Amino acid sequence: MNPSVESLENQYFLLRESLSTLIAQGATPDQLNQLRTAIAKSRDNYWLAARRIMHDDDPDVKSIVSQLSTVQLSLDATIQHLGDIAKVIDAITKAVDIGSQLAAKAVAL
Amino acid sequence: MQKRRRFICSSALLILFSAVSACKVSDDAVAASSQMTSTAAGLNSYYSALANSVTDTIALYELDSVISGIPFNSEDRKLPEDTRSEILKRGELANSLGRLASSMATLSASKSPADVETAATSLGNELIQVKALPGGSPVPDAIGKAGNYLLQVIQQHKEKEAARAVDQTLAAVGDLFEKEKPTYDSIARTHLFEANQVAKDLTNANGVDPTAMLSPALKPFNLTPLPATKQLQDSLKSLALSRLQNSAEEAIKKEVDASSAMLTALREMSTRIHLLATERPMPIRGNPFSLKLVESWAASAI
Repeated sequence: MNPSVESLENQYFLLRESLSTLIAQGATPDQLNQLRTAIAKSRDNYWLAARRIMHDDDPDVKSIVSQLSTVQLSLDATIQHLGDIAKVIDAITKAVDIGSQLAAKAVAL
Repeated sequence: MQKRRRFICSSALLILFSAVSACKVSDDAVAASSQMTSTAAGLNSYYSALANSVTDTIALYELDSVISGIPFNSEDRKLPEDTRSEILKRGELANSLGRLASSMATLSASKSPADVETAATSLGNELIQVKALPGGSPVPDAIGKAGNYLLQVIQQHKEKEAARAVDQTLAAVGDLFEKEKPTYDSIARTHLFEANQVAKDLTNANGVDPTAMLSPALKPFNLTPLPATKQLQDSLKSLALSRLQNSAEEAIKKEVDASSAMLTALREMSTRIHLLATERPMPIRGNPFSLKLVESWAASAI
């Protein structure tokens, strides 16, 4: 599996599944809207990467994939053990930003 | 109609390989033409099913937008649509394999130089279409190069070299599929994830009538269930969710098996053509067995 596409696929799946969790945890309408925007962005990043298969031998791509994997693990754990929803949304936004960097590499190559 | 088309393609390939391998109809040539025709058809079926899968994914994003409020505007839609368009181009590539055989047969059968020139021009145009696949991947260029080589050797009446050019072209198609297979699997997985997600949300929101699940109990007695009560909906919910998950996992596995089978068939076809091109015996007969799995998946893909 192409690691870049796989990272973005995993991120989208994780965020999409987190929507019902955050609704159940009583996230505010604003927080839910931020999450929905992040999910849509993550989905777009995935399709950008799938549209043009990326060159994973690019050192910049390797570095971003590595960052994304680390953030993803942390995000997964955070969502599983929800505390402060605002912090979760913040972490999600940062993770999606890293995903956008990865997708931007796909467009540039 | 499809059977007739396959027969025509098989006949064309037979003429081609008979012409390029010692000018006699051999059992090896019969097997190679049949395999190449069936494999090209299987490849086209695979890409068609994958393109349909993206179409359904887009429809699911629309549903998700309405049900869960996840934005999906025209810009968002363009991304999967572009991918679908790339998949369809690969389906055209599979069709070109069949057309290549027909054109080659025309060339082999033509007697006047003018006919050869016309058919060669037609083949050249098809090869340009194959080259028009999106950039970024080196494999389509290899296909174009193999095609140009093919055209040159035919125009120079180097029939045996033409068989080698077909050999190169098929190897390039196999390389393209192998390189992109993980992405094909990911696209199919994304479709099933999205379907599962929307179905799960609807089930959790009591937006699904679960009475169809009672069919195994009621059908033998020709009984029809009443509309589900809230209590019955709640009772069946966890079973429904569990079945959704299992079905999605099973469907994901089937697609991976189908893409693996397609790759195996392409490689097998390539090996046989290579044997023919190098004038060696080709002991294996019949179409690649793995093609049945591809056709079965393409016919039943969700």
